[in-house]
Amino acid sequence: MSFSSHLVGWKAGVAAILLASTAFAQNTDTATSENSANTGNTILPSISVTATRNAIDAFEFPGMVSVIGRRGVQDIQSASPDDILRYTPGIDFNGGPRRTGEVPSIRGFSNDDVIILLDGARQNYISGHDGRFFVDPFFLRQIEVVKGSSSALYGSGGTGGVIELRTVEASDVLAKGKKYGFQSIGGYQAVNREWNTGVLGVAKPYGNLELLGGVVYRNSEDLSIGDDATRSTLSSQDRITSGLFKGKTTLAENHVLDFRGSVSQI
Amino acid sequence: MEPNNGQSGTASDLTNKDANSDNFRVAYNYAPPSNPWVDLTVLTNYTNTEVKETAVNSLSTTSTLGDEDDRILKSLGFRADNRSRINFRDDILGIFTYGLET
Repeated sequence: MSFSSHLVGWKAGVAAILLASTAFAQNTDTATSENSANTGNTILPSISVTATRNAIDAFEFPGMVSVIGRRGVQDIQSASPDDILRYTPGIDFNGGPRRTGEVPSIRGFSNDDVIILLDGARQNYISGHDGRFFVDPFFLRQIEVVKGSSSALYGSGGTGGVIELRTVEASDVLAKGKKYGFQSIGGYQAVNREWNTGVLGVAKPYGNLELLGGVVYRNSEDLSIGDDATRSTLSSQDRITSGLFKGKTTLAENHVLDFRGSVSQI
Repeated sequence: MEPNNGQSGTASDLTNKDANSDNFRVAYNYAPPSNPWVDLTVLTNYTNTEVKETAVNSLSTTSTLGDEDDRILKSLGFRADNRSRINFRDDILGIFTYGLET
């Protein structure tokens, strides 16, 4: 399949099709992407892959699905997945404000009624007062939330819904026709005196090989809570190191093999 | 460094927490444009999530200084699914998605 047609701009919705690489959807969206290359930025409708396990226009899907693209993730400047999903209807994170204790619920369902997928891999960890998954927002390109029962498509659980997180692709970073690129972040937030720094490098040395590697470090002190009159601190010093590595290759025409690994240490 | 119950706003016990989450996956996709019946994805993944705690004071009701509390979950997953697209008529497209997951 051709990647070049998807390299324009920031349309995470379109790029999601890379994962599904559906011949049907690809044909229509290639045309749209070429069009947007001529005219600058064209806002395309969000494409949901999680809802039906097929690329479908999120608005046409006869159910409730929310799609947040990489630009949405970046605009929020989040320190945890809770920050990104806070404004999505129907979903709520309990257990904050420590990010390690945040647990999502969809329409009131939580724990094993909510399926969490990280690049298609189920996150099964559920424990007492700990969080369900640990991933750095800098690595996220897209989050989809399917609300309502999806049991048949995603196995046991999922009465409340599915949260699918997808990590960044080389095509999100590379400009059209470029072979190498990098992105970096640096930030500070006062509430817990957190500073973070990270870098993401991508390479597409040959036409059929994509490589991506990134690392992020976050360092925070105790959280301040309450207003001026009742200010107190919540013990929550975090030292978080996250890494991501991805490789993707086209073995032969239409045969795509990809590998990804991520590690996160808090 | 936080209480055993990371969701509590009042707990005063403190633990050193190490949370690790490692994910690895390999996926393969085959979707020949000439054959609408085939859009195959095979995926296998390994996930290791663990939270290890060491109590650094004795204020907890359940643990004393130096107590260690480890929770580890390793999952191995496999998934295969295929999508078949059939044009019943020019204006009716059927997509059948089927597969298995362990």
